[in-house]
Amino acid sequence: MPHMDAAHNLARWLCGNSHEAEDVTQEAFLRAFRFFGTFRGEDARGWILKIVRNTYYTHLRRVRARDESTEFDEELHSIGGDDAIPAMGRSDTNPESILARVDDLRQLDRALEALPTEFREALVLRELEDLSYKEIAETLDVPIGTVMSRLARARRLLMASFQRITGGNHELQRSPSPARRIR
Amino acid sequence: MNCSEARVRLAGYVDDELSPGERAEVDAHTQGCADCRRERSAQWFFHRALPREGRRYAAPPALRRRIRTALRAAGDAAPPAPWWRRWSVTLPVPVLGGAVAALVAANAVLLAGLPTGEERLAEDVVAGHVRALVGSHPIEVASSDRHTVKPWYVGRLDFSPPVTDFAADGFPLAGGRVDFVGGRTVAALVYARHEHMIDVYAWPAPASAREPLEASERRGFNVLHWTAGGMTYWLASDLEMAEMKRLAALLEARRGT
Repeated sequence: MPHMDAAHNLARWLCGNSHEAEDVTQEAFLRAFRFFGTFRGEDARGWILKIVRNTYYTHLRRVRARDESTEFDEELHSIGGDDAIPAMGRSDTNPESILARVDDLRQLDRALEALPTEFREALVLRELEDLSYKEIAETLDVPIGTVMSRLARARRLLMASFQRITGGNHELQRSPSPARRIR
Repeated sequence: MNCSEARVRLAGYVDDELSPGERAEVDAHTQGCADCRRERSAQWFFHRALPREGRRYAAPPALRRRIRTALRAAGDAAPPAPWWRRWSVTLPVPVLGGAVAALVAANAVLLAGLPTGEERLAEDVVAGHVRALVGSHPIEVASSDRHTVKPWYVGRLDFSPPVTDFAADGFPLAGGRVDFVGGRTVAALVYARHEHMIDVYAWPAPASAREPLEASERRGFNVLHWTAGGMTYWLASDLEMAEMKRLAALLEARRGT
């Protein structure tokens, strides 16, 4: 079965656990089977990944088992829209020095896991599945420009979470805000 | 180029997705902007580190087997039927080589020992629905106008199927086709509900025959069946059962008028 690894990898990163990921992968292939009349000759991998993604969101709605918005860090969320990419904080902003303090690169997986879904899926498709922007745009059903800004922001969010891991930059921690502390 | 524009393009920069012109603009900006240079280092770092250090979860062998089995089961739902000859179904590019092979195999091999009665009808109904979804002709007469659809069946069936558009109730009629269920040709009316497709199979029953509404699931599809007013109905779809029951209620209400 072609692209099963890619399908499962995306499902696993979307679901966050192997049990649901396997269910979503299987369901996606069955859906693909039922609907492959709709296949119009685009890239087959992108097509099955798209079905995986739709299956995941259907599954999410159906079981309502999880609520992304309460699960991840509000601080990461509140940095702004796709295009608002603020400068990094001022105290220690040298990526090399921050990253040099990250002693275990397995923290990468954990940081990636903690990203909001829209950023996580973009990174998984780009860095783990090696999809082009065009392919990602088709899979996620968004313009190419959005793919670019999401990836820019996704990597920036990873950087922010590494900065926190290493305690290198307190300016990024937005709550409580200085103004509130004075009051 | 300002910083916020540059920061979006830095992703495209490290991913090598910018035109030479855009690249040059980013270079010009970063030369004079330390913040954006730092940002670029961070983009580079993750672009290099993730493919190397990030975990890629391959599909476990047990899952591969499970999916292959499930697809084969789904393929078995498509028995050898006249549609093969009637419709020139062009199977798409072998997206899912295995799935296509399973379907072809299921069509090539005569299924022995089919269950009888209701079971078999339900199988046929779901098989017809799968064929319609997989094939290129789910609808032979595409129209929401009953005055187009109903006459189309004249000469194709030995009875006149009930045809009503329920667009006002959220179930627009998409059209119809002739299908083969339980050894006879029947009407398959196609309704749309959002992006789902519902097949309504209908054929005559004795006027006195009554079968209560019976819901079941088969091969991942929802199936509804009842008999009333001299007509047997089978509905098949991947739509939620509650929604299918709404359509059933509409069909029944229409019969009363």
